[in-house]
Amino acid sequence: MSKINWFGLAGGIITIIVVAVSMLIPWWQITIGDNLLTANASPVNTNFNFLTTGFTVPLIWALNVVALLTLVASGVSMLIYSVLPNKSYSKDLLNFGYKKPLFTVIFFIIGLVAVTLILQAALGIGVPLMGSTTTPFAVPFVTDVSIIVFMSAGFLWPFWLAIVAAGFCIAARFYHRKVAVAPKPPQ
Amino acid sequence: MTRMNKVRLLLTILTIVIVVVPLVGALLANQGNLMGLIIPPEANDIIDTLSSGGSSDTPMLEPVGEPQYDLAARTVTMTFDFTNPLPIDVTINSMSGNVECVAHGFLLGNVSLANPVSVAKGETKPLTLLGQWTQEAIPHFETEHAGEEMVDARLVGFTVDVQGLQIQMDQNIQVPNPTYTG
Repeated sequence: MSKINWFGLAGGIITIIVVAVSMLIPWWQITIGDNLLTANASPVNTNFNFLTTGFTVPLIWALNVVALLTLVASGVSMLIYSVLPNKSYSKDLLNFGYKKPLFTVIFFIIGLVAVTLILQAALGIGVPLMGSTTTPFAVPFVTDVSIIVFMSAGFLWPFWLAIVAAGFCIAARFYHRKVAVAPKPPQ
Repeated sequence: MTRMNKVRLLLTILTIVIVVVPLVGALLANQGNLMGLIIPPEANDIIDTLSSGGSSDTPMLEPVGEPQYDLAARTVTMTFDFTNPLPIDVTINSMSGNVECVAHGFLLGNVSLANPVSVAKGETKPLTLLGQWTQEAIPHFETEHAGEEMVDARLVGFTVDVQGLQIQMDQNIQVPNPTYTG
């Protein structure tokens, strides 16, 4: 019976599942007011809703397509590698696929933190990454009026599933030593 | 070229294509308006519709009828017709604030919205505000503002909760003197 890298198989399957569910459920969501403005963010689908109007940002949409295709390619390469870990090209498939879910998670977190820091620095708006807060807004040129906005944010389960996928893919890299057969020395 | 090298080359080309094609596609789609990459037309539409609201000549709040007093309970009920100037449906969840006498900085009482009100765009709906005078307010009206039908007051910390957005303001108003007999 041929060897299978079970960590890689699990990582590949979960990565594909993460891509599919992330199209519908964001990794991170923030709600401003009573659903006045909602931002749904994930590496594969980021959109905004202002009351009943939904929209996307074209640049973010393009980056989402990059991440979507990257994760799909990573998942597929992990699946092929996992069932054929001893082929001559298997190591290349593994190297291509195993880091991408982790990098996607890391870049997603960096992006979120960067956006919150930029909003804080540029507009003085404290956006929470997790939990709820009320943030005061100064109304320009008006001294007697201030606006306080309730914000609620949090990471949803696809984000944690993506971390699990990244973990399995990294584990697959270490487990590779056990399933890979050392090539026979030339006679 | 070995199969291993071919796979490696294929994966490298795949990586480049995956990264470059969507970004170049987005750039080409917005080549006439690069700002459109960051600010979508829908966001501009929202800003336009919001800024076009509120410019109507119709006042937002119009008093309806005379305020209803209950001197024994020290309450006043005021009804206003609220016309939503925004091109979106809004829900006013609450209104609340303290009322202070401008001349003496004396706390007279507080006001609050009786019930949350949902108002469709352009629609007019009645808002009922409940005022409650403090126990000390009645003697204050009697002694400091005797003979005045209307008293200059200030709404302090007046907060309107619209769709979860809390708008806070201090505003000068005139309140009817509950002890005025004419």
